Amino acid sequence: MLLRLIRKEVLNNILSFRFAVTYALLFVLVLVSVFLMGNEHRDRMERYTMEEARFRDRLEEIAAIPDPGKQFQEVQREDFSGLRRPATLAILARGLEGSLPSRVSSQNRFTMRSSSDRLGRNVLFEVFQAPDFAYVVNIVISLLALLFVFDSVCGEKEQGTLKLLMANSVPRDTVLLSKWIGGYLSIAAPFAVAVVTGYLYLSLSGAIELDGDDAIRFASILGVSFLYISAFFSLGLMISTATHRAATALLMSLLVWIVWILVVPNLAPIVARLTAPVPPRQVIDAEQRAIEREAQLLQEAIRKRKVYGDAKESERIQQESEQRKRKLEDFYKDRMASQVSLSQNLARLSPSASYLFAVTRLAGTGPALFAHFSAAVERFQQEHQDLQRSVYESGSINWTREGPQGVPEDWFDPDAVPRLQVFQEGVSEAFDAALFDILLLVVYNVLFFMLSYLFFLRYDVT
Amino acid sequence: MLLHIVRKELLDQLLSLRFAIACGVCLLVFLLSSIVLTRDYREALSTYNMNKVMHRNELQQRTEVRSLFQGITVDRPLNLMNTLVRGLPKELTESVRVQPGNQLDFPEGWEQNPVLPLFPSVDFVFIVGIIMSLLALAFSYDAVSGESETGVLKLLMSYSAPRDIVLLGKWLGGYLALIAPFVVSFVLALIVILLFPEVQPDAESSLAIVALFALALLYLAAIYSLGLFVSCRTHLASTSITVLLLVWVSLILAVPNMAPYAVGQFVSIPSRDEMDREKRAKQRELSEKLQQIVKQEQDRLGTDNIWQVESFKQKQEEMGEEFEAEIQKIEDSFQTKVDRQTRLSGVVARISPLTSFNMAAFDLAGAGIAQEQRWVAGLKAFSETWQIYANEKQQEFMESRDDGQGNTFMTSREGATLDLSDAPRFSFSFSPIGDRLTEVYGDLLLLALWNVFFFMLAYLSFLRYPIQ
Repeated sequence: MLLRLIRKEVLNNILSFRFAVTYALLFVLVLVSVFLMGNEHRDRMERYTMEEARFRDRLEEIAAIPDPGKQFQEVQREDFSGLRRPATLAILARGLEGSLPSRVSSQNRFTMRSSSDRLGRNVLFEVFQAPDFAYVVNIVISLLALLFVFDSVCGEKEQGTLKLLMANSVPRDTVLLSKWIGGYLSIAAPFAVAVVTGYLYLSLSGAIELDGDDAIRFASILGVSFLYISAFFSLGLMISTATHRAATALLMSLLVWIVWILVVPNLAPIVARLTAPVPPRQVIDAEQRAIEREAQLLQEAIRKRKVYGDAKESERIQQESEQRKRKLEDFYKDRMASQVSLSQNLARLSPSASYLFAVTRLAGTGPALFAHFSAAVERFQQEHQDLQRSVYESGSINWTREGPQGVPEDWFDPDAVPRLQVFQEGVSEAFDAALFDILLLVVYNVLFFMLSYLFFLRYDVT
Repeated sequence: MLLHIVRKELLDQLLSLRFAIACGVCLLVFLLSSIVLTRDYREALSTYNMNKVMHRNELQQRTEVRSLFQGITVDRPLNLMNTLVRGLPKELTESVRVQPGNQLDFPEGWEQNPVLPLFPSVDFVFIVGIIMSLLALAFSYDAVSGESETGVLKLLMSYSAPRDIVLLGKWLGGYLALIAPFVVSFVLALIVILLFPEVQPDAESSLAIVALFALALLYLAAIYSLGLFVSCRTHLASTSITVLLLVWVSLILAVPNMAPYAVGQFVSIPSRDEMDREKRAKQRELSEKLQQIVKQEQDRLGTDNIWQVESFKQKQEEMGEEFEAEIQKIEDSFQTKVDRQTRLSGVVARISPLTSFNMAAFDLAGAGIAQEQRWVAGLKAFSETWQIYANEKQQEFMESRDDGQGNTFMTSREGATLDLSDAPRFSFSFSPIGDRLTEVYGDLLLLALWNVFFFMLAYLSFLRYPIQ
């Protein structure tokens, strides 16, 4: 009986006008999104490879300089930027890929932009969200799922077919289950076809080469997308079982969709910013500078005193100031971490945010990328400082008119020049981290289906 | 007759569930958004004041005249309109290092809460552009097809009312019902914003708010007319809403987002790194050229010390200008490409009325690209003023340090102070409302055209609508 009901449901859907248009739209949107983002990624990747090759050439050029003094001078003059490798799966979920810099300086903590940088950009990229796969699923397909299911129970009641159906000896749970399976199959199947075509395009055009790890991530992102669509499908079914007219169900579905997808997750970060404020970075920097200045003044005063044993005191002052600066930095980081977790938790009131967090985590472009990137930049700059310090400490360098003298012969090793290496989580770690959000989506699924079952049990079919 | 139809339509809508839903959604979203954004504005205002004091103190602590050439940090004044429209700038405050010679350093702020870039902010533009447009379709999808289904249309047409009056009546009644919750919520949101003591609107911002409100009405009218048109083309309300939702998804959610990427496929911009490299190569080439000329001159004049020779000095100056022009040419050609891509993607994205609405709202609020250009131009002008001031100060300082025998001391002596009370102050004002209106003129016209176009189509379809 269940199979027959599913068949009826699927046929009903497939033959409807709604199916044809939804199918076309879904297909076009997924394909266009994958095409555009795939090409964009390929451009970024080309740019990155070119820069990387240039960087290597430059290192070899420096290595070829015979005089170590000149070599050292050249290295000091050069600002070896760190290049960030674009994440492959940003094609599917762009996340923070566009908002983090693709290159960082080895010396300055902050990247500065000149006035031509500021104006030399196409602002339209910033006005609207990137149309990646996650966006299409998150916003568009969730709406289409609701559109697909809003009248599956109340619509049939209006037409009178539900009454006919229930006149057969079929239990209500079977009817509901068949509606769920039949309806879900009718939206999941075209979605799967669109995704497979998109994947074929990506692999044939060479935009991405998925190795073992990336393939698993890709499959997991798809899995989460199916789960997310099913959550919305169940929600639509619940609304349909809670109402008696298709028009009412549609309006309720739209209301829930607006509040849940458009309002809650988008307001969450700003609400979090207000409830858990973090002092601006500039203030922290200014305070750190003030501490430094204070230490300098004290040290200067001590130097002028010229008393034996002052060197120790000067060192103590230096250490104390370092400690105070570190404390301030830790304070900033703690406050920021609590704000980030609050904004994530508030946003999780909507399944849309859970979905976005899960897929960006799996794609390696989520908020975790920010933490890894910050750590990488810090490490990269520290390594550069250490490299220069090690040269100073390795021998007695004298600065003469011709440049530094006494630089050891083999001090420069092109392979030892630090690179910006952003830590990339393994698949299992990423999956573990995304598990909470995935579980939330499962809970939403179960909850909505349970509620629709409850409503349907008491549904007046006449 | 028209009034009767409008009244009937209005009453019909007011008593419907969708009106209640629209009221609830509008009130909730507008109030939440205004409270959150205004509190954010308040926080930003205190940060701005703090930064200003900090930067002034930093200036006053300077004791050496040459430090003036390192420039000064200035802050962008807050834009009151940010309580409604967030616009292009990522942060409400911004501190820029202005150095002489038009060199501006904008800090690139990637160090922020990483959850923020994942979600768009819920401001006036978002609420009207996306949420209200969806509600506009919910109000209009069954205006004709729904009545045709229920048989009310047949009854209505049995009166001696011409079809144009019926359609106009439907348009007016439905549209009034749609904007009623919007107007009430918007006014309430404005009252909430004004309750914050930090918000003190001037005449300019009041006019900008009125203009923004009119823009929203125009945009909603265009979307409402679209809904009416589709309703006139279909015979079942369910078909009408299906088509409309799909059109809405394509026009509002897909086209504006995809347009810049699609245009980027055909009109590419070289990366900034490439441009910088090109500039560096040119600089190298030019400096080699200069060295050659120096050598030639040295040979010609038979002396190494040619730097004091008048003719060479003049030549050097000329070459300097030429170099600058060459470098500027590279910069300009890059900017031209960027402008071309921006313009083209703007044209393609304007297939969707949302783009016109968004861009116009940004400009009206003083948070669009025109304002960015004005801001950079203001900073450049200040950089020049600062350079003049620094030069004057240096001159003054050198004169005061002159010991009368032609020797000057460049560094200040112990305990020397530098009087910077006459330092120029940076002031920036957002462009006047007249200019903003001129900027958005094209988009306003486009929205008006969409209105006329959709209404005409609706009229044409309704004229041939079979009423059974």
